[in-house]
Amino acid sequence: MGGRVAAILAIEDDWTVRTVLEHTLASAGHDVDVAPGISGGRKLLADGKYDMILLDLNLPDGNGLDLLRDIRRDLGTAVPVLVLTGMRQEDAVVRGLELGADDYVTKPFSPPELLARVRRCLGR
Amino acid sequence: MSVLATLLTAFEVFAIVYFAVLSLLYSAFAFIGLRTVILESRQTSDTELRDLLEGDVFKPVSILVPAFNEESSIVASVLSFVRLHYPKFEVIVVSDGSTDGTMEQLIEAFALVEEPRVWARAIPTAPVIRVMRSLRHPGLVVVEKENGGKSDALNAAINIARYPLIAPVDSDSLLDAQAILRASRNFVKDDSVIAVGGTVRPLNGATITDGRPTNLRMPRTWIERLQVIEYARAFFLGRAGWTRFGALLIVSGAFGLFRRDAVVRVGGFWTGTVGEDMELVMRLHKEHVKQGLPHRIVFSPDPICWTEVPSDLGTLRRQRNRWHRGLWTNLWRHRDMLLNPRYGRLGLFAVPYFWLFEGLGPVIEVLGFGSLVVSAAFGVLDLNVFWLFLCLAVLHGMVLSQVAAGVEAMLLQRYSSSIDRLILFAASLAEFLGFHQILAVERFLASFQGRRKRGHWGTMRRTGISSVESPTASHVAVPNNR
Amino acid sequence: MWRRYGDVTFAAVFAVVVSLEAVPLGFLTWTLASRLVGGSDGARLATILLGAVGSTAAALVLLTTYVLTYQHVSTRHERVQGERRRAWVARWLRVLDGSDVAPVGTLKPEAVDALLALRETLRGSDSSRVAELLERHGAVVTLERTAGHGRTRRRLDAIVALSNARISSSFPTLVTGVADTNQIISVASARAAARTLARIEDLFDRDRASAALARAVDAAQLPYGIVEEVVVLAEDAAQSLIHALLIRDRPRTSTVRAAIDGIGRLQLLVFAEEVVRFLSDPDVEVRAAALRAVGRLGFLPQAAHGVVIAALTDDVDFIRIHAAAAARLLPRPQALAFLNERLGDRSWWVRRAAADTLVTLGPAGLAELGRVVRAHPDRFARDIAEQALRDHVPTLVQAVVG
Repeated sequence: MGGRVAAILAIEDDWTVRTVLEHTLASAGHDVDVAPGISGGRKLLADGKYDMILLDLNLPDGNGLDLLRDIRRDLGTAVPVLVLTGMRQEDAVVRGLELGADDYVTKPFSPPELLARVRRCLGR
Repeated sequence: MSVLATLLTAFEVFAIVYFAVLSLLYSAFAFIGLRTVILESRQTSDTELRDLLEGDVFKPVSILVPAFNEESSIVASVLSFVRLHYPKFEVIVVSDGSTDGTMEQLIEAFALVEEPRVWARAIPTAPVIRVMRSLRHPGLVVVEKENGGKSDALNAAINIARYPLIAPVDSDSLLDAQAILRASRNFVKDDSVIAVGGTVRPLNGATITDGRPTNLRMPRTWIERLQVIEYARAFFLGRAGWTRFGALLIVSGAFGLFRRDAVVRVGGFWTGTVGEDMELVMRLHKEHVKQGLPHRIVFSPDPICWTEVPSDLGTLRRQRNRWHRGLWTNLWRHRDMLLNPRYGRLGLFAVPYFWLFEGLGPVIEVLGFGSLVVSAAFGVLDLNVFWLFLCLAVLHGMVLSQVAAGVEAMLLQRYSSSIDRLILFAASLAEFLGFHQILAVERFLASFQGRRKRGHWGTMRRTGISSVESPTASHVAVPNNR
Repeated sequence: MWRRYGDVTFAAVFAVVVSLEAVPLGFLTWTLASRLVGGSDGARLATILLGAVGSTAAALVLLTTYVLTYQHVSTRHERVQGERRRAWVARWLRVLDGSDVAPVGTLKPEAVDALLALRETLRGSDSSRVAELLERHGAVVTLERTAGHGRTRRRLDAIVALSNARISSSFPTLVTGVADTNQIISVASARAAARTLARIEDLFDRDRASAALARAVDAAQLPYGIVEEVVVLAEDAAQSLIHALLIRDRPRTSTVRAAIDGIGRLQLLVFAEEVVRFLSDPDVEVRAAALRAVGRLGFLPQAAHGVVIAALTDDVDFIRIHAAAAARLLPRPQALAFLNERLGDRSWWVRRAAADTLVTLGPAGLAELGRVVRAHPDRFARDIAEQALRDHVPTLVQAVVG
């Protein structure tokens, strides 16, 4: 596999996607924490230190872009952020990248592809 | 003397038969309603909604918010509307000649600037003083106009609205983008649909986070708790039943979606009633039948809107009084629909039902009780029969309330703590041990007050739902007007 | 919005309850009626009332027991179900990456649910393998069978599951479902078929499938909005489906409209010429759809300019509205001139559309609007031009401020 082991936070409301993220990242050796929404995500961010954040932009309890903005404001560019969006949501992706996301993955996604992008973000 | 006794007995017999027929009808309706909900719940999956949102297949909506003297709550309300996660919509707030700080609050909170605006005045209204747009939220328009009543305010908003679907709401309605999306699907599925009503649930007791109710808890006062059951029954059992028959007479003023052109075609809301939501629906049916236009008005249990309900008896009684007066005004105005085969199931079934059971129900109930008292006074009352009948009526009401409690337990968002379940259970029993009777008396009185107080907002600040089918006669409470 | 288990049982319990009430109430009415006619029989009446009270009380007890039990059971049921499903998702993921073996035989419902959820979530080779697993364990066949007949409720659940599964082999079943007389089944099947179509890779199969679906959709007379959704749900296969919808022999207006709108929405330039042809269609709704699509595609050949210009003065309001939007594709001087004319249209909505289009024409359009505001003889034209300019300001502000 290669790549270092990282502490990753995934903020995602869909339980299946959460499980897939957890499994995929954990089997690559990373430490994964998951939060089902913005408020849970904020709490975990406040309490812990993460090497990378996976953020779904379509969260039901708030705007993922707002959280992204806050992450960049509080943590600077040190922590890579990978955003997850649905298909056909180019403007959300563009906004996310403008606000400082490092990369994006559209759902449905391919786990190997996700891992590759995570590795690349961590490598930077 | 024996004449009196005979008369009394005859009336009592009539009341009992009335009760029996109504109970059976209502139970049958409730059963049909339940089955409708069961079927509807399986029709739109979340995946499909997501696909459609992503594929840009949705209809833009104009949300119409009439307001009068609501300085303490208007900003929060409008904020919740403006923040809806709906892809394309506008919010039109109309201050109907508010004399308090409503406008000032709005101007300050949303950076409103006045602009000379032109729009098609399709429906005549009281003069508009100014139209303001928000610098912060491009989709927000605030209209200040001279006082003309809630209907008038809504009509002014309709004139300015530019999207094909309009959603008149109450200023304290808590909407949800999902609700609008689900409601608007009905227009897509069937070209002839011109209005869609959704479910309304009491917000009291719930915590609100980011504009949605989270952590649903039972409210503190019994008045509010009883309304939780009432509303569940009215919507999931009452309206769901009517819609299956294609004879829906009411779309709630707290949340409804209409085709703008259909509403404009019939002339907008009528300012002569306090039950403007029901009146519009009746008129929509009537005019479309007259013009031979295919149309359907449906209730969809799926979309859910939350609203604040009265927490003290005084406000509640005034509200129900207003609803019942509105009911009578509307029924009277459209009395030509009564038993008129031209209007199909509505004329032959729904309208007569509303006359006989919704409108006259409280009258018969109160008079029935009164005659029993008189009978007792004259010694012609068979006490056994009296107590048994009373038991029966109360038990029957409890049964329906329990069904409503059951329905509520099946909603995804429900009262889940054990204490709340017990309270709900107690509420379903308690409704017929006084609550319903008090409201029945209020509605009885309202039946004779029709002439006064038309077209005003009413003394209640939080108008909330403007017309709910009132609990019907003989201890069978079914709020219908909401 | 609804927990979908235990509700049918609840309805059954309610049915029993209604009968428990109906029978004594019927007796009561009968007794009272005969009492009025014949003599009074207080004792008999009391007995019947007593019976009614008793049976209603029994009904109440039955209901209450069910409701309270349901509440208690459902909480636990959901928790257990959730855990089971999560466990299955994890297990299937391990099967996919080879660290676990697939179970044998028929799958439990939670296992199937987990697979369906994964099918939605994953893409690429993993997703194909999920589909294989679904087929291998017979889940697809079972769903197809359930979708074919039985209670509407069950059929719907199966169709929705197939919609998620998107297995090519179930396409024929779904297409058959489109022809069902029950509109609910028909609509659900059409959507499911479209989603399935989206995953058919082989181009030849895809074209054949599109033709079948187009035939079924047209024959079933599905409403315009549903056909539009079907086109969108077909994703990459939309082009093939639209082609099939348009080449049908005398297709219905709603079908053609939906196809044309699909072309505009998905920017399928390959159909540009077709759309231009539809500009002259006899049906007014089709012409309107074509004008809309032309505007969205941004393609208007020289030969079609005349049609659009004519449409600007059509009798029908909504044709003029869409023509005003499409007018932006005319040569600049012509666009400015004709839109200026429309600013004095008798319909407010047409004036609005014309003004909005002028805004999109860049500096020349804005300059034109400015000229109108200053010097146009028609008051309504001046007002609407000013309105459009004002409405344009927030977008400017947003673009600058962000």
